[in-house]
Amino acid sequence: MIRLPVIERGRGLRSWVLRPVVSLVFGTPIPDFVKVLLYRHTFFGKPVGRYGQTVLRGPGRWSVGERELFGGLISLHNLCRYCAGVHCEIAGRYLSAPTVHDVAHGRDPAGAGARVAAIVPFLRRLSEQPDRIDAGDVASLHSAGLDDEDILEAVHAALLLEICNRVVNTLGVQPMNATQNRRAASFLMRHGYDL
Amino acid sequence: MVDPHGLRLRELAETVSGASGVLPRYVRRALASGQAIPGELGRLAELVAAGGTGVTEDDVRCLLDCGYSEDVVFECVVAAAVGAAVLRLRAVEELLASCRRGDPP
Repeated sequence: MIRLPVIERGRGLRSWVLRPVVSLVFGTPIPDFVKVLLYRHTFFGKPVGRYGQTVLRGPGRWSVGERELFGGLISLHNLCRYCAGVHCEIAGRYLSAPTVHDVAHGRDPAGAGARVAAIVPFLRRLSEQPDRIDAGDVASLHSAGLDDEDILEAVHAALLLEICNRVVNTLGVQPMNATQNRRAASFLMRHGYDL
Repeated sequence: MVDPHGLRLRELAETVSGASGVLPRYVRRALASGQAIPGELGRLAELVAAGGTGVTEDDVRCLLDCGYSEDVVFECVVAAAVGAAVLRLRAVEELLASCRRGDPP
């Protein structure tokens, strides 16, 4: 149950019209985070969706699967089961589920390639101790062949989830089950995030 | 170097800070730029900035019982979450700029 009853109930025409449609698409009750995105859509749902579309689907130096992997592992790091479930599912469809599992849990850091292996520790460090990143981190990334643009793009994929994880965790959004994750992944792969 | 993704994040931060809402714009602006605010909402914002896992049902219920509206709480949560990202982006941008200039560590 979402901790703000007004979001649980929904408010406004958009919410009233779209909730049943989303339920039909997912074939299950509407996921909690979709309720959050529909609530005061122009205040949060729309601008965060545009940011998400740009950083996870727009032109970039990293593949969609790699960017989704960054989102999934940051979500795991932030203990956000909702976001981890769906972003790891999407990443797994592009990169293979075992690869994503092994990279995200640190079992095979190079499983998705040397570039991913180089950036993952930096993203974790940035998540945990943003005031502790330093020139040594950047030097390691540069020596692994990543330039500033590569670094910034990966950082943005992580930052999107830094935002969503906090909203989800704070508002008590419930994680989706495996079926919902699969359906959400298919939906987001087809339609993207700018909805 | 232009960072098109950064423009989108700043657009989100600007909307959260400047759109019509119930929490004063200067408070939302402070939160969305990663600054702390005083009081009970400040305590919530601090927990959000720390990841949100420390927030309990009771924390939110207490704020509502104290007279804060659900919209105020929602705006505070979103602004503090955006602030956590803005703060991290600023740290990376400053670090990359410093490395480009060759500043001593």
